[in-house]
Amino acid sequence: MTRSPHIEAEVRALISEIARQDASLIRSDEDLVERLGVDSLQGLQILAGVEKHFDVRLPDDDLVHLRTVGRIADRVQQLQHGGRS
Amino acid sequence: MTRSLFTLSDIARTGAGRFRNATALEDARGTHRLTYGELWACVQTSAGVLRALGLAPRDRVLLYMDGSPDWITAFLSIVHAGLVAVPIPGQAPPELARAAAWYAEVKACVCGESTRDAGSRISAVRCLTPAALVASDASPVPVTTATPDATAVLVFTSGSTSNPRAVALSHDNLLANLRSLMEVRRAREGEALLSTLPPSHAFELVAGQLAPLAAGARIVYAGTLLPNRLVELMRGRAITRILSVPSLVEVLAREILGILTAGGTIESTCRESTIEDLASAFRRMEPPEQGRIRRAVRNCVGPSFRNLVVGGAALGPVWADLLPGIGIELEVGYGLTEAGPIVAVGFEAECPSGSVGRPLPGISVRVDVHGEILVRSEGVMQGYFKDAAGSAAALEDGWLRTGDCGRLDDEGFLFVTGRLKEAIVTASGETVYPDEIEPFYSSALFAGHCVVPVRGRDGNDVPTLVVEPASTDTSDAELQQAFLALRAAAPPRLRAASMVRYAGRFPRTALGKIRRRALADSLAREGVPA
Repeated sequence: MTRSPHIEAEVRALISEIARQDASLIRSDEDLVERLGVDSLQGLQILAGVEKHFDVRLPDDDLVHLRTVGRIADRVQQLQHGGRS
Repeated sequence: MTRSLFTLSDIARTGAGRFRNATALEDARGTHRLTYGELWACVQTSAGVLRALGLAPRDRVLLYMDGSPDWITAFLSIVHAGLVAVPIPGQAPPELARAAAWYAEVKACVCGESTRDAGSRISAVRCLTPAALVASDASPVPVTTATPDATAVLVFTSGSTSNPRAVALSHDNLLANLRSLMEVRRAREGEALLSTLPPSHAFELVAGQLAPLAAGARIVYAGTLLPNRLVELMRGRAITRILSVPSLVEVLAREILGILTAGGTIESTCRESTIEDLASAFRRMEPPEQGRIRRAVRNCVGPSFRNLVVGGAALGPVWADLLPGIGIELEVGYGLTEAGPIVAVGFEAECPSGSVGRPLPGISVRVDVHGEILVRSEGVMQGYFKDAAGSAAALEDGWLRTGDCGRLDDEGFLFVTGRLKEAIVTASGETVYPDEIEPFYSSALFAGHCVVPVRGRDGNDVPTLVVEPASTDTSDAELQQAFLALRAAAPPRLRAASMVRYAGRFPRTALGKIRRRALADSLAREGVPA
């Protein structure tokens, strides 16, 4: 599945708002913790923001892996299309 | 009622008699639910399965999973079978699980779905899942062989693999602490507690698991800590009480703030405000306006919610102001694993500012000439596992040396003012030591470096790296770049929050060792911000 640029842009915007940093400069495969210094609580806020913004429920066992813009965007896209992979 | 408890599994046994059909445990999805009657049946069956493994009394069993109905069922089964539970968080990395298993010489391991692979790779240890624990062909164990003075649990207090430290607590220790707590704080039947902390920590084990079960309350396990889901659970499951740590309180508050701004209850600009600004804005409001906000918060968290208990670290004073204002009762307290663990509790509204409440009934607290808080009670640990010297240093004439400094006022309120030890307790309640962090920050650009706690605005310590540059020509930007690279490579819990360039030479001992305390004091004098 090709990654939707719209979803990716919206994920970046959410991250920028919560982490209060310019997320547009980071590559989609860069680790948010390493690159932006996002701590675990901001991580929770980001994922909560993603669930609310896209009206999806992220799978519990997947949460720890959702650490890059790309992975989050891909997962949202899959959930919106009614599947996990 | 607590007088009829002799060993920990008596909590499940007496619960089945008194609250048989009431719900004891449920998960966040609502798919896994156990009544008190079912919990006791499971405990007896699972104890039978553990016995059938051929374990000897007092053998140790690693409990490697996150909080869930399965966790507490497994815990009570282990202790009911006369074995010793060695709980570690399900989030702990596999190498830490292996280190804990090796140090405690465990004979078996109970794992959840996410830890099963790691658990099964611990050599020479039988690994069971909760499903295997309720295999119906084992004969149930109706009567425990555990004795009240036997060790029930080993709680690891140091998270590192290099210097493990495990506190041995007996059935007597934990039940004594439970009795003390329940004399002043008894959950009522029909109460529901949202469990958000790892039950491998003694505070959550006693106050968040054993106390509600001894009182017939319902425990709902949050699973993930996404704030939107927590708020959903609070409302949807009629939660009355949450035990938490300060950092989670802030995340929850931000979530509620988001809902209030989205619903138009308060201006959207408030989303960017600090908690201090919000609290002072709330104070300035007219009573009807305050009432409107209180009702909106109530709509968010549900009509039943009333009580927030914060442990593990200090909550900033601003919360003491804000939470009661929006209709949430705040409870504070003080404890440490070695004390079994709870020492003092208090309702924030009834405590003098900065106090952690009064010592619980049955717990003696005094402050020695050096200002150190000493605790004596039946809850105080048996000792550190395999560490006679450490135990002797911590326990003196029946008094536990807490390593914390403090004072008692005339009305018996306890104040914790600092730490004698060099441990740094962060806002998430985690303890880290400078010795653990420093090895990750060596660089050719630093002539010396060390980690000191710097007190943040919320009253919690932030581990801060202080560097002495190798050359005065090195720019701040170069030092910062080196720091960020080292920080990224360090394990998450051992990451220094920020770096400070030290002007001049480090204060050192005659042997060249950096004098951390002197350094921290000089930074504090200069007002270095965290």
